Amino acid sequence: MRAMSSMNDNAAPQEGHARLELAGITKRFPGVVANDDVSLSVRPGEIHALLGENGAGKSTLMKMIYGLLEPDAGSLLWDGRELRIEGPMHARALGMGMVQQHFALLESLTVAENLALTLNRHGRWDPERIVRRVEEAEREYGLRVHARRPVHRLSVGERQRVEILRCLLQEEPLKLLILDEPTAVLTPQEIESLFAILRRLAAEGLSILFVSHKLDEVRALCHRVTVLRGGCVVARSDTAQVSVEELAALMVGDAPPPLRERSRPTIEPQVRMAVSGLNLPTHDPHGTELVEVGFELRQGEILGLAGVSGNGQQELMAALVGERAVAPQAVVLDGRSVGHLSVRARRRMGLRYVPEERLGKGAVPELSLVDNALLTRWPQALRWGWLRLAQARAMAEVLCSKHQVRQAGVNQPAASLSGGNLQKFIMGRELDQNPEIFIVAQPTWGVDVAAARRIQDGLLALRERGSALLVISDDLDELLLLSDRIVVMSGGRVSPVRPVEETGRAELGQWMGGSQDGWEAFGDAA
Amino acid sequence: MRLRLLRRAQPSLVMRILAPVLAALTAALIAFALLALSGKAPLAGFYALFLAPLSSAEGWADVLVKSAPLALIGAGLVVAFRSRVWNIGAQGQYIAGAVLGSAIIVHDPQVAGVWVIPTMLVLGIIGGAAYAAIPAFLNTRFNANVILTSLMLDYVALSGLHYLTFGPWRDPSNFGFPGSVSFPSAGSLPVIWPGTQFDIGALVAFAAAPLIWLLLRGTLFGFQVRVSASDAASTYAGFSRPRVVWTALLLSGAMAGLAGLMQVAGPIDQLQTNIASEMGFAAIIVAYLGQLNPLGVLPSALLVGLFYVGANNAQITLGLSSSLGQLLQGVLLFTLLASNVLVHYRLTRVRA
Repeated sequence: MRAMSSMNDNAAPQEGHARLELAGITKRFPGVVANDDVSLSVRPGEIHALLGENGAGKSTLMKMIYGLLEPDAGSLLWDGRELRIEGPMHARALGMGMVQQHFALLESLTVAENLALTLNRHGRWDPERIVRRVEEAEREYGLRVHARRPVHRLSVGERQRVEILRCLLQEEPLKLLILDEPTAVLTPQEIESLFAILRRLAAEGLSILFVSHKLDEVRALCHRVTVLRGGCVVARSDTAQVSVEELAALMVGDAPPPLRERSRPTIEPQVRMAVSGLNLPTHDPHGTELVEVGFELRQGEILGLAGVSGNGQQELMAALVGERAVAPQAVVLDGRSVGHLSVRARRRMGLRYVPEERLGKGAVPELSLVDNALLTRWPQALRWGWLRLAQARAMAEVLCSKHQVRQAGVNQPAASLSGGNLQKFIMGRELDQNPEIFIVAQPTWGVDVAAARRIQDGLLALRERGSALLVISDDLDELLLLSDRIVVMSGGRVSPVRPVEETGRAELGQWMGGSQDGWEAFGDAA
Repeated sequence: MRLRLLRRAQPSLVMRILAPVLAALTAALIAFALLALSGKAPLAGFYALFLAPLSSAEGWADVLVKSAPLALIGAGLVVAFRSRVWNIGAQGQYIAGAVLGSAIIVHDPQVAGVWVIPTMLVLGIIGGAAYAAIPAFLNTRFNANVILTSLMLDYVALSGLHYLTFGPWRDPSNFGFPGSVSFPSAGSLPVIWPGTQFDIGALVAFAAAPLIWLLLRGTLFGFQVRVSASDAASTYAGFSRPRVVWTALLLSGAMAGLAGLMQVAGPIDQLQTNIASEMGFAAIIVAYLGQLNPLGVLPSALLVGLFYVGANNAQITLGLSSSLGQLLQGVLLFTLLASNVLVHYRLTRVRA
């Protein structure tokens, strides 16, 4: 595989020295080689994509560049000089900046105060000086940020811009900006404006390392691309010279099986779950209050709930499944008011769900796979108050083999599974029960393309059986692929429900961004 | 060359078993050093502490009798701690069980009949459980911290015991000494090892651990306890946290209460001011030394029981302070916490 890719090297034209050059970087963790002989170079003014699936080793490589991990072998050259990066402080002093997927901002402080915390390390506390620098940055790069606003009032896109600003304003002039999956939480419109900013920064000579698994974005934004698969570099190329299909094949290896043909269910589409006038206050100061949420979920359909995470999806799920009690008539299952009923009572009525948090909620990390298989199925293994352990064990074994969960024995703790395998385990546990009503958050989060396909196929199969599915996801593309109808959640409210054919990324993206154009006119009748 | 702790990919089963052994050995070494530092002959002290009690059958009986309540309370605490219910109040629940069970005797010192012992046992269980119900109620109703409420109730129980044994329940014929009347034979547990204090209560106490093991392994409640490791997962599984808190506290309280009753109706044979002798706190160490495994509680109870008997023996034969036993327990807790690090981490050498 690697022999093939080394031929591709010639395709990259040499213009001047590389700003960052990695040669033969290898990093092992117990049981896996996360990076195997990885080489990579980024030139000044270049936007370089690091493309790979979940688990391909992108994050490990980023952490080594930024000094958070130490490579086991290989060398790193910075402006032509070989050196060892001692840690993030050292990396910043060299002129690197990194924006992680999870932002490190204090919610209750203003933007300027947050920036002053890291930028004013040696001077006195002076957020006002920062405000002026933020205004300069807006003129210079088109980075719009409200410096005096507290962070908890910012959208995710704005928060990301604050993190980018923090890198730009650091003491040492910024030479390399590392962005880890920056578009994962953005609306389509926010993605466009992020790309405009990045292009402008690159034009001024900044090197950008863009870590992603989204092919379209890599093609649209980046000059060159390095593809990682299973910890190895499988290709390097100018993005102009490869098609999206070629990139997909390189990233995934074998092409994933196509999704099943969608058939019209033959069953009368009766309403299984009706939500109306659902209000839920929040205890968490940074949580989202649900306001007059209403929609209907019908038999034999997949309803997609789109929205930037943190807009009330978690609160909605808690209310729908029974983790938080609401007014009885706010949630109606098969004609019965259940808003006040417990998780257990609603599960008995055929409602099953998969929470967003896998480890710690969907599975208990320190418990065995046998116990975790029982987590939502224990009533089946129960007789006279005793759990039939042999049956539970068989259940776990069937689950693992049927869904190709790679594990070292069902007595191993859930924490020993990789993220993707755990996701297959949890999804399989619920799907195999053929739930009548199924609510799932981020169904394919963190799994590779082939496994994602299998999970999506399972959801479609369930739909064909006549179940009602509500899929909550940040990934609009996935929702457009799976859903019959789609609804957007924003600021604790929901938009009108739209059939997928009658809407598109533009309209949904605007709603995700907070616009409420067309909400009243449409009504809930759809 | 430096040593460094590296996180293991998975907790080590071998270390989970070896860690308490390592801790006990280290504690013994520290005891040895302390004896040497205090100017006593360390070898003689070491012998008196750890070996002398085990060199005769009577010694073994003493250790078993001392260990029995620790094993019973400890097994109950395993259930509580595994449910993440931090019941520090076993001491108070022990006293409550002993007091309520003694009420029959104090009410009628001449009581006789086969019904007496069973009634006392039931009252002991009820006393401990009822006393544990207070922190359970405060926690589930007002979200009050169980550590604080259960710990404070220990001192309330102790004050109550003092009041009774110095006041209304004092035996008037006992020359003004505090304490109830001595229990009549109808209120005393039958001894099954003649010539020692090893009675039927000790047998019951040791039988509790395997039963708790079965409960945790095979029942739905045991599963709820295991899942309690994560609140979010318990909610997801459809379990009620208040119910787990109530069950864990009532069960551990009942077992502590039973232990208290079986002490006053057994080896002590009287409701005294000092019946508890820190038993409820020592049982916490027993539960942790047994790695929160009900079966592990058995050897760890024997070890801590040996500390009690050994310290007593060292006091008699060498004039060492009897608080040596408690000091050893404290040292043991520290060495255990330190060696348990090795369950999740391993030591490796790194070149500087």
